[in-house]
Amino acid sequence: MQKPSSLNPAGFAPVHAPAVVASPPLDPVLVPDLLELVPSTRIDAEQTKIAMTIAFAAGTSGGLFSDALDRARIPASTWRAESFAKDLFLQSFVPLCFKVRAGGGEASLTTNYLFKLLTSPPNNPSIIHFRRAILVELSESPEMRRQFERLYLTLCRFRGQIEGVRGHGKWDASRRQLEILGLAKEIIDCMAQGFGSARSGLARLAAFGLRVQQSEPYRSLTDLLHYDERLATLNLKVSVGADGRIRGFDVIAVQESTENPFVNSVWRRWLAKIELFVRGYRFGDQEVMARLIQAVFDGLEDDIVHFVQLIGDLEFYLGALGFRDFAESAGLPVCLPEIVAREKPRVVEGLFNPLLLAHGIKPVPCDLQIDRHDTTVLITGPNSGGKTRLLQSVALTQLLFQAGVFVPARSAQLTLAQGLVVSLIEEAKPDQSEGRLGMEMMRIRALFESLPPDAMVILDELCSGTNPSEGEEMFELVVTVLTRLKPQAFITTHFLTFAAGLERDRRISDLRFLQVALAPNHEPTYQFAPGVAHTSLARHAAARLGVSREQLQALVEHNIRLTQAPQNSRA
Amino acid sequence: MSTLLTNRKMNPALRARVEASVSGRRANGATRSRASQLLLKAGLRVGIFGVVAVGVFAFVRARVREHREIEDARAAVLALVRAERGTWTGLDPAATTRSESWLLLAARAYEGDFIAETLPNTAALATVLERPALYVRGPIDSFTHSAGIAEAASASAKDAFLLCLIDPPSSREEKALLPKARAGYSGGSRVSQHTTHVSRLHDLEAGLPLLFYPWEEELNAADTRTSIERLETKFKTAPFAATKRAAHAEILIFAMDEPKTGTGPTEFDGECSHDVRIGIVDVAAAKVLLRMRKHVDPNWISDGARAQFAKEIDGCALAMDVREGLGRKK
Repeated sequence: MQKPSSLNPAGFAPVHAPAVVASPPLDPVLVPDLLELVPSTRIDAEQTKIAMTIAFAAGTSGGLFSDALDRARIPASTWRAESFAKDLFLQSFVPLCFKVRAGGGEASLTTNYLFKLLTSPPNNPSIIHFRRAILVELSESPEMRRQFERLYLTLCRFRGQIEGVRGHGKWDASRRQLEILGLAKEIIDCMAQGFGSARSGLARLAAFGLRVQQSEPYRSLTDLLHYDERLATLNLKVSVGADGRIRGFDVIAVQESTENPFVNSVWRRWLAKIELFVRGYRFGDQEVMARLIQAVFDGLEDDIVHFVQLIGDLEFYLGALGFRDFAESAGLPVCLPEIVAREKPRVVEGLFNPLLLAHGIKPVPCDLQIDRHDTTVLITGPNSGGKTRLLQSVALTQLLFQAGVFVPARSAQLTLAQGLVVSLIEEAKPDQSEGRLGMEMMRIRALFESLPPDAMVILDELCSGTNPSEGEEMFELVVTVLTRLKPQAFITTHFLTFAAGLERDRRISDLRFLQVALAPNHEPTYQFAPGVAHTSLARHAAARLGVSREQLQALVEHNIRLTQAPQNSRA
Repeated sequence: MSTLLTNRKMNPALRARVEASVSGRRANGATRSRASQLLLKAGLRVGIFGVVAVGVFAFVRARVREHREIEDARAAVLALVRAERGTWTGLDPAATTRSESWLLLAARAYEGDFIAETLPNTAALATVLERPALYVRGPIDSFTHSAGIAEAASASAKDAFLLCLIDPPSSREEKALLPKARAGYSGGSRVSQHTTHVSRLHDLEAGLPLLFYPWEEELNAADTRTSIERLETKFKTAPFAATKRAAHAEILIFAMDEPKTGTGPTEFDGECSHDVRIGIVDVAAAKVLLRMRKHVDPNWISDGARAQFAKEIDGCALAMDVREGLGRKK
């Protein structure tokens, strides 16, 4: 057992997964990778370096960072986004729920990269633990989170300057480049000083920053910035008269930073300008400065290139924290689930649908408890009872859990899945060649083509829209064959009689049954209880939606009266 | 390749990167072309700079050489001047000015005939005329300014007037005057043997100023080879031997021909009816010894002699008139 915390209220110790892993402190780190246990460069470093060099020299109109992250490699994953992303509305989930708030404002994310990270959770559980440890540390240490946000904001400024998005400094190239170098120094210093006490993978930031600070390129950078900011110090005495005007101006002392390696004598500076002119450059102090700036940048580019990947990593964690803040601001707690074995119970408390929350609807949390994970759960109940929303919630929870971030539940015990396949109701397409039965069969076919063993399967209204007896036959076939793959399956159906028969006969192993819990007035409570629903409450739904017999008749009479009224007036 | 942008304070790695930045060398191909572009530009600039530098160098060298040659030429002429000056004793820079002053004075409104007390007769005149003297004759308009004086002096030679003044003929008749006129006309030893102690004013004007500072200043101010050569020629052709004699002159003898009077003819040699101002000045004592104004008219001369020797015969007759004027002095 572990000590309970807000993120682990039950105090469960992980059974199957290893302990939280932190990076060895103060070992020199070449890559400040925050997503993988073994640090690696996922962007194309050589291409990015070239692009960054050109951007530094000339200033591009944006896209350097997002292009590199779009092409970045993702940690190995058996999940395929095309099997679930569309049905879970992930393209809108990321920008709506993973909001990065830093520095008092909302940041603009590299959405494509975040989408890729979330839809390709890692195979290696150690990576999940590595990421969770970082999130725990950021959640529990406000100072650490403040440094994390400060680092992110500085990286954003660096990105803005080097991509030349705002157009600032285009009139003075050297001034722009010095500002970029100044921001690079600020980033390195922030990494070295802000994360020295980190115990999780955040310690890599400190190790990386310290390594760079001890290198010659960083010292040259510091000297160059010092040369730019403080070539000399003048002590002045200014006399001011009674009228407030300056009467006298005396230079008391002049101190030149002669020890700075960039400081040369006046005649040498002149000769350097002439030398550059003869070599084909323009004549002037700016060209001298440009050469020195370029030399300093060249020494740092192997380290600066990692800023591109780092900003994506930071957005991943800040997005997750933003999701937590967003949910908790609506009174909905989130957590990092406990990882358990497949045969252990699935226990989820306070589960809610974040898509509803993203659209401004406060969801009603529910609890879910199944005796083991590798089962097929049939869910029945009236329409608009919350079945589809439950499916979305379960699927999103599994997705976020395996990505290593917070899930929309107060607490959870979950096991890992090798993949996720989600199929909600298919909408009719104008070019479809089959009827509803044919489309449903194609859907089933596609399911089995992409379904690996030990995956999570989410199916909404399997075999609906067909003749009930044939549909039930197909339903039983699908459910029976599915068990061979040992999935974690959640399937909704309106075949109530058939479902009740399955529950009673127990002829298919590993089936479990949940039904929508109803209030005494037959209204759905959006909670779920074991068992099969007895009715779809069609009449109640009809009455609620205005399609009962009495309501329809009233409508018809009203329309007839409307039609007859002009004829009576003429008569 | 090292660069002046680096120094010993820099870390070697930084120094290498600065050198690479300056030379445009990079590991990737994207900037290799930049290096070759820079190299081409640098080559062009070095080439142009080299051509301009060579041109400027050649121009400056030519100017320096020309200047050196001018200075050498100038120094050579100055050396000549100093060498010549070194052979003189008692050099009087005012000699020329003094003579010119008397001439300018005599050319003004005529003050009337004058004979000094020390010239009571022709014998006294002869004594005076034995002293070293300067002689000049010319149109009176020439004697109103220094340049005119120099011009008149260069055109004025020892003539029959001077010869007859110093060595008068036996009578004033044409027959007696004619040998003197011929001698004056042809010049040469027939004049010089009687006038060796008399120098032309031109001898003084041509040589003496070249030995003093104003001319040396003109030489120093000359900034072209041509002008220096001109001055050098002037110096080398100056009659310094005659100038030395002229510089020791004590007497100034002059005759100023006034404009033609009347409507009579003008002879082939320019002689016509006109007045002549004659002057003898003791320049050493700064006294006028003689001032006369006589009329000449070649009309009296026979046709044969007049055509060729009118001026000389009139000149000799004029000298006789001057001598006669002394004889009639009371």
